Amino acid sequence: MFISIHIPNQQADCIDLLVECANAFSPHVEITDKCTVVFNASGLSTLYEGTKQITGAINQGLIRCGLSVNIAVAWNAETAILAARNFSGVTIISERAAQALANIDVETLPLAPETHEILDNWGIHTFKDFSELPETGVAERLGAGAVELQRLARGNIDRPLFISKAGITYEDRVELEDAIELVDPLLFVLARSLNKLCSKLDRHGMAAGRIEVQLDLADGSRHDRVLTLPFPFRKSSALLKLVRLDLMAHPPPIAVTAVGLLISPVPPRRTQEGLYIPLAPEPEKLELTLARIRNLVGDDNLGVPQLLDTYRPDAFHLLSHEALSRGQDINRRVPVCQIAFKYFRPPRQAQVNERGNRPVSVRARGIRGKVIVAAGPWRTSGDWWTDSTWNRDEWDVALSDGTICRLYHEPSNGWFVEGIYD
Amino acid sequence: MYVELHTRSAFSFLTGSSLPEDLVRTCADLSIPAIAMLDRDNFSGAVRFHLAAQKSGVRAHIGAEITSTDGSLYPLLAESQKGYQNLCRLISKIKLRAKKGEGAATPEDFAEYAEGLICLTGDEDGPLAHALKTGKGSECVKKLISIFGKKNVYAELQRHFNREEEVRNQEVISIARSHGLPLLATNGVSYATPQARELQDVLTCVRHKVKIDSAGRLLAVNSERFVKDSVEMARVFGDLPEAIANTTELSSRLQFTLADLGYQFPRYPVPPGETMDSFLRKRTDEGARRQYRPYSERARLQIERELVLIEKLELAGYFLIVWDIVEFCRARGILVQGRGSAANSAVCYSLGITAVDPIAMDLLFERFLSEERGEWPDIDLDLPSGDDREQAIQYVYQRYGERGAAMTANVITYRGRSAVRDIGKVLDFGQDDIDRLSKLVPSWGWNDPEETAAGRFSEAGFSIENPKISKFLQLYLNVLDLPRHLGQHSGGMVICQGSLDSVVPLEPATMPGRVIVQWDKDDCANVGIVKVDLLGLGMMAALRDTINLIHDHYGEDVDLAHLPADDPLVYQTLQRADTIGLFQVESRAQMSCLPRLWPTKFYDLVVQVAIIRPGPIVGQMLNPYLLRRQGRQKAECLHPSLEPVLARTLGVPIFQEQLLRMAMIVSGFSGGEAEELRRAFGFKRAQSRMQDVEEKLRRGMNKNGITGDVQDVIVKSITSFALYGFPESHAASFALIAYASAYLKCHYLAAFTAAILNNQPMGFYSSSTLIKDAQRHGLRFKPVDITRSDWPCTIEEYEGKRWLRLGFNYVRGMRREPCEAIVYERARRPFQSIQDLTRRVPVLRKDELRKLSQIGALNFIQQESRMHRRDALWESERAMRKVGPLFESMEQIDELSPLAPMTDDERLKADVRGTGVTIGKHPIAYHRERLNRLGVTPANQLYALRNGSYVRIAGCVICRQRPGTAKGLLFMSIEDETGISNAIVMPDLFDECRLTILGNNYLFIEGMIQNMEGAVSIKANRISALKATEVSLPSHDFR
Repeated sequence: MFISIHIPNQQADCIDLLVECANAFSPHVEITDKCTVVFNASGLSTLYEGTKQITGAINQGLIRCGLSVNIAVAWNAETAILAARNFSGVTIISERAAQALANIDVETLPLAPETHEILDNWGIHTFKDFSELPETGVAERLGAGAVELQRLARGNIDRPLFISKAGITYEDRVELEDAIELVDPLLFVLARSLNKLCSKLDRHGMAAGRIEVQLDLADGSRHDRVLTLPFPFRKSSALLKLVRLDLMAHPPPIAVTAVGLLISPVPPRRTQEGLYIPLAPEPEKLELTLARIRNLVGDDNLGVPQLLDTYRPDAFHLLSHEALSRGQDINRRVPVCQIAFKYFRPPRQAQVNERGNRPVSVRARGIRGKVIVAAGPWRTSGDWWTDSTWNRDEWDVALSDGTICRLYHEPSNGWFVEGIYD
Repeated sequence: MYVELHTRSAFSFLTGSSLPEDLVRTCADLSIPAIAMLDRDNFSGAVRFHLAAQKSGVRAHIGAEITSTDGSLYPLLAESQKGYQNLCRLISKIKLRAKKGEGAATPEDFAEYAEGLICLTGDEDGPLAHALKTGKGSECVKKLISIFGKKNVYAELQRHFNREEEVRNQEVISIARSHGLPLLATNGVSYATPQARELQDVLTCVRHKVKIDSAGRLLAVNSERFVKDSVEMARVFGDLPEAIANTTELSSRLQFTLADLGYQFPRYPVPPGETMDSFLRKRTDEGARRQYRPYSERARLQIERELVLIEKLELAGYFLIVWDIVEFCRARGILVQGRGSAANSAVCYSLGITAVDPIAMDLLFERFLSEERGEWPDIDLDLPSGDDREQAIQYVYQRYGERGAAMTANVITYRGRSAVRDIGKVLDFGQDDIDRLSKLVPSWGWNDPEETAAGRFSEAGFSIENPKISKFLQLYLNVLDLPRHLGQHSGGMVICQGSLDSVVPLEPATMPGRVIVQWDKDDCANVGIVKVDLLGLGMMAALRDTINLIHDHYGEDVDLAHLPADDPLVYQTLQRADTIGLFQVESRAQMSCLPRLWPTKFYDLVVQVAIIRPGPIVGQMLNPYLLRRQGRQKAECLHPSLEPVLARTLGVPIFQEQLLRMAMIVSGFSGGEAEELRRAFGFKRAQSRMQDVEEKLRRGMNKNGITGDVQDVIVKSITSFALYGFPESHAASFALIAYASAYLKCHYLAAFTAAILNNQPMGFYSSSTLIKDAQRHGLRFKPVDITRSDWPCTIEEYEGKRWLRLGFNYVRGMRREPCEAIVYERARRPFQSIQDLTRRVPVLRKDELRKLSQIGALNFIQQESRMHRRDALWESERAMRKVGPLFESMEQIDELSPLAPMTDDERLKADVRGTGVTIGKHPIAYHRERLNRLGVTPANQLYALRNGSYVRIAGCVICRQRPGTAKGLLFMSIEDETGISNAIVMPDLFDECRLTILGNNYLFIEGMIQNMEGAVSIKANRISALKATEVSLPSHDFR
């Protein structure tokens, strides 16, 4: 006897509950799809008085979890699955499976779209219509696969279950007797969990790809931190340092009452050092250094600068270390001007006197003089379709004190010295 | 003084963002005396540029940027006619040897066509900039000098306030000085004003197929490529005054304009001792004696007058060439008929080019040809669409050579939806948003004048306050009417004496074997290039096929030129508006007018064809004419002096000729001036031109003492329908075809129906409606049958009656090849079974065999017993499965099909899905009992009901229309098994029931009957969906 449980309307992410429920009745559970499970209930007759009691027990358990399901009992797995998928509530098929399945739409059979079209043209719409076709005729026209499905429609297929195995999880959780307010004592707890999980990873030949720290707070809320690692890590000491740096940058706001740690396993990194390849810093060390810098300058201010493909002057963005390690293409714009230029960051506000729309004298912090020679304006504008439209005129000027600098003028912001030519 | 000598317009296709007219207007505003337009590898905008410049008093220099094989662009200017011709030939050469949209010139090509050309060294895309990248600037200049000559190469400098450009400029100056080349300042203009730079960026993205956010440095660095005035350019080039001075010097060298095109229409070869004039005179005389019996003095005088003018204007060759094409068609049995203003000419009538006698109909010759207008006459020939028309086109190619004749182009411009799509993609709108925005584009005839773009956007949930949306809207409005690419005109051909490629560049069309010129038909007309339109007309093909079918199945030979005139049956049919399938008089609007106009003679039909046009409707001519025809209004003319012109249309102007004559009488216009008036109102690009002509019209009337209200009414009636009015000659040509179609339908229904079914798509109604109409007229149909059908629909005779057999051409997805194989095999030996069919016709695909089974085409394949459709489907599946060579020849054991026959509804569905039509009962017929219980009146009983009765109708919607002239009213035609009823939906009801009306194929309508002199319609009060069947028949919506 087989029992199938199906969640109608594809209420996603409930399969775990279904499996859990099925496991409570049998260790032999097949996860047929993300909404359906089926299990062998043959041995339950000694525990329950009849099928109705079994299905009632299943239903009650799932109702408590807030799930509304279809349950079907049949003498073979496929019939149970078909019935659970197509009939709402509890269905018990004792005998005459074909009759019970007769009105199910033939569309529900896993047939190729072309075959569905053929059946539609033939006027075959239900399991009954389909199962009444002569087997030889079906085999000649639709192939052996269709005959198999015909048997399915008649409820005549007996097959073993494909038993699903649970996956290995790397998870640890410690309920604290006393709430912890400081980071350092918290790290003791985390270190213990990390050691445990890292040795488990080691045993399974895996490494950590992502760490999730789940801290239950005294007020009942949660403080979660997720660290996505650029390389697979397995050393618990290095991982602890990373977690420590992260928690120092983002400490829990109040005392912690429980600590959970969840590691996503990935295959470890395997690299071959080359004889002529310069040694790079160890990835763990590099990552720790970057984490320390990130702590100092903030998350958004660390990365590899990448020039943007735009005429907007000095436009760049920071590419994360991870993106760099993934080998993301960095567009290197070759500057036309080969003279070294020293940028003032930020540019210095300037007072510029003009004559005939040309600068004649400049005064800014650290820069002052008459303009001897001026080249320009070099005019750029763009991003007119966004809020950050820009429009500016640049001048290269040689001042009376020998300084050669770049000025620019923005209609809305006035004059600036952008930097000097070395 | 500065002259702009390097400009790209929007005709560089996605490379410039201003129209030539805008560039010229800006030059004129800035007092720039001349401008050169150099579009990329083409002259498509040259004529518009030339005309705009002529009007603004700016000199238009012609040139082009030519793509070189090294990827650079050579800016070349035509100094002389020879230079222009060379440039045309160069473009033609590179275009014709490459795929459409590609092609580049080699150094040898440049050398071959260098004479008469001035070469600029170019901007960042120019040859010198390319060479400088590899340090070979000096070699490049030497090469240019060797090709074009030292005095014809100018070192071009552009200053757009860009560092890299200035670095290059300094190198160019240095090289130019070392080679003694003159410097030339240009601004490399791509748009008229700085604001157009945004559109330029968008078009760049369209060209590169990128979104604007990721376009990066493909976009412009700034907005400096606009037309700058002399002061600004002198300031920018203050250190190089000679570069500015050289622009005027070079401009003065450029003597060529398009006025000096050098085009000659080909001479018609005549026998020795003859001139073209004498030859034409003889052919005309022969024809006139044949056509005019008796050859009256009036006809003789008119023909003489025309011939004298033709001789004077040296147009004899043109008439002979058109006559030659017509003769070619006649010799091959191809139906041909001239349309348009040519039908105003007695010479054309005598030569057999047109079929309307302009003398009998008193048509105005000046509408066709006038000395003052100084332009070529326009003769359009209607030919059966398809192979016949292609034969005529290929004849012209062969006769005048590959470089002597070509099709005219059709400039495809940005229209509502294409603009939404391209701009939406560039601005990175999601597909859903683009679809929603597309739906906002007015595609129906009628637009609420109160509606603004911003209002429509808000209604659709797009806030105009959102900067992205407002930018979208602004760009959308700016891009409209800008050219997108060059297509092929449907039938216009230009012919030239000598080589056409020296007059205008030629390029390959997408269709193999076709060559197009880079100008559209208006451009050709504007520079005096003669065009002959060889237009394909579906009805001509249908008439040809009808005549052939009559010959085969009725044993009669019908000559369209000699159909019995004033056939009573034809006029009874027209009076009843029983006109489905007839040429020009079948639309819903025509049908509602026919019973009120009550045609009784041919001229009524001419009026009928012309009167349902936006011009007469907008000008409010329709109702006065109908009232006067019914004697309910006095037939008064607008002014006594107009009596001779308007008397035959009861004082109401209906035709364009009347408009011309009215202008001639009331304002003293000459024939040419009157024609100019018509063109002004038909020329949508020139508002000011319309105003000029209107003022002239009023001045003339003032002089003749016609003032006040009468003047206003006359002006309104002339101007309102000038744009969309039909010329009387054109209406007469169409009326002839309409009469022929009506005559053939009335007397040879089977042949006519088969012919129109075989020439779909054409006309107003779908095949399904045509079949139902023929059935109501008593024609009986047979389904597609593998043992009987041919590719086209055919006629079969049973028990002395003609039946129409549907052809394989109605089986959806069916290819012609297997059908021909079926017909061939079946002629050899009848098929025994479906298995026999698949074995003997191996080209038949699975899906085709299934389709044939589904529609019942295999039901009669077994001679001894009839199958039903599902038997055939059962058998087909087995027959289609390959059994391998061992069992291939073995007959399979017959087993009875276990499948049940299809129900009526299933058969209906299978027919409509498989063929798009049903020859069985109308879908509504299956529901008649239910409809009777609901009190629904069948369509054929509505005529008996009195005006104002409250009725219910129900049926399948076959037409939904909301014409621009009807102020928001929606007209629907509803078909049931007894006929067609018409419903009118007021705008408020339409807004209320929009989804029901547009989303359902079967409707139930209640409303008041309006019976106006036999034209019956229902003014809807309530509309709901009718549950009938899932099968939907096609509807003619909003076209």
